[in-house]
Amino acid sequence: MKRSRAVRLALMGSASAALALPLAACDEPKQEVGVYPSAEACTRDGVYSADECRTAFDAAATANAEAAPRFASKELCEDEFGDGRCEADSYHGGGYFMPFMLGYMMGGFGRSGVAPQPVYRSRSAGGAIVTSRGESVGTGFGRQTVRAAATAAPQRTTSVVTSKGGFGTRARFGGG
Amino acid sequence: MERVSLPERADWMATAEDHGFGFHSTGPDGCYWVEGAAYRFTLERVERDVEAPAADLLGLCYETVERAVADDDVLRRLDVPEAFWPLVRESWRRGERDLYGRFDFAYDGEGPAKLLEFNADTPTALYEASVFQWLWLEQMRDLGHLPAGADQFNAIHERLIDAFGRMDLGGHWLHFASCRDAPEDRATVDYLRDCAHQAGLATDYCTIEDIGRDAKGRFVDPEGHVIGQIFKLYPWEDLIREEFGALIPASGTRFIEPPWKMVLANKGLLALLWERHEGHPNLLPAYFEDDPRASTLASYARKHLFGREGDGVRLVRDGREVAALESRYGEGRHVVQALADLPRFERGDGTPVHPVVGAWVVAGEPVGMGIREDAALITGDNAHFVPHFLAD
Repeated sequence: MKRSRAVRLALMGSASAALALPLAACDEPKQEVGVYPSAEACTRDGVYSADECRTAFDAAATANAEAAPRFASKELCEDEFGDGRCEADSYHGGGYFMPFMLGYMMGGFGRSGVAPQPVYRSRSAGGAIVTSRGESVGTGFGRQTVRAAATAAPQRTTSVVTSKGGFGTRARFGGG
Repeated sequence: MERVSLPERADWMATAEDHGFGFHSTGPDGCYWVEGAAYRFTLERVERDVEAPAADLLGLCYETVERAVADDDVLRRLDVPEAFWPLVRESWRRGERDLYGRFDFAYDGEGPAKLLEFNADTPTALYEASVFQWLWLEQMRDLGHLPAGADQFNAIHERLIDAFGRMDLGGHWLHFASCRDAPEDRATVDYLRDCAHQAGLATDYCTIEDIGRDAKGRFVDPEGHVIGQIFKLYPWEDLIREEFGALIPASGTRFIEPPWKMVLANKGLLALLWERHEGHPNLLPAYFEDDPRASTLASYARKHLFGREGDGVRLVRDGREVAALESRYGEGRHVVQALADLPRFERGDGTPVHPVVGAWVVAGEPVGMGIREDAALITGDNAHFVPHFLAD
């Protein structure tokens, strides 16, 4: 046989496609998490105890100081996270801007060890809620099933954008 | 090699859209994917006339890179700015692996396939060859429109996933980037990202225009993540000539395709290949335009070193221009290549059409085939994609 034995797509295409291309998304490792705007909302959801919710919130807020994306100007930050959604950052010594922490993600204590982490509302991701690594974890609060990769992906280095638009300025390019 | 008419799948457009192939009909004439026709080959001919020459030529291409990194004069003739010679050399010497490319052949099913060009840096028409063409074959066999034994030269999908798994990309995020407002390019990188994801890599996307820099000269995405490695569907010759280009060598970012692909994505490659392998059955005579031998060609294609998608190509037969596409490049260095006789087939309605056979290579090996045909002699963005199958 000169062709692929099977062709599956994991990210492209719609979930309703049920023809010869099985969507691999069904096979992908998934992770149950809770995404909450506050420790109180977490407690009300009834999945975790009030103590678990509070501890996770504190851990996420601490992580936020270090992990939040940083930008050299308020405009660059708002470009990504929306107007009025960014604040000055004091953690890196000032002069930078970072998005407000929208809430936090937690889950699987003791079982799969998802570290509680801050989440943000991303304008560039179409209003989705994203982790500091840019992984989408849905559009609303509450219990979510997310790609395991969203919680277990390699660490990322964050930095501060000082300028952009230095690529893509040449005449329009269209493949080849 | 034969162009045959076949029944259309009733729901093929919906199928295309469900599978992420939204640009199935986006050509200037409202067509792109050709349903209802296909090219038929025998396995033996494809292996002998397409697969084997692609493997051979790829070997000669790697040999040419070897030559270029050892010889400043070659890089100069290819118009690679001197400041980037170390980048090209080091990426090759470090053994940075390349992902993919597409050889375009003039092939009529009989004589040897002739290399028109090598799309080594930013080839597109990938998804339709790899996925939708494969699906077409499966469905046409199921519907009984093709014999159960019909096959296709198309292991592109499998080999892409395999390649991503073997490029030492694990442990770091891999960004994918294409130009803003270019849906077809976006589909190509979405598809490659899908393959990388299936290979177990953590992936992200941003537009070429949204790439930023930080104070240390590292590249950063809009969310503030340092870009450690990136697949960019954007020409190397443009990257290095833009504002951020000078940051590339010290950025610490690994690029795919690697910088040494600049040597192969350049139409000067055609002249370099002919210089060393004159008379090769799959090569057409080709010279840099300022080479005195260039004037010995009365019928030729004149191509800008950086031309893409037929851009700026001028065809001359017996000293008279027979076709030309406008150039965004203007002046600059060109090559002239002996004019190939593109095979001529007929559509169902009798109108003539010229196919170009694209031989896909992934991680150094030929893995599949995709055919585009154009009513004009220069295969440009009016070209249509026609599926193929192998049967005796």
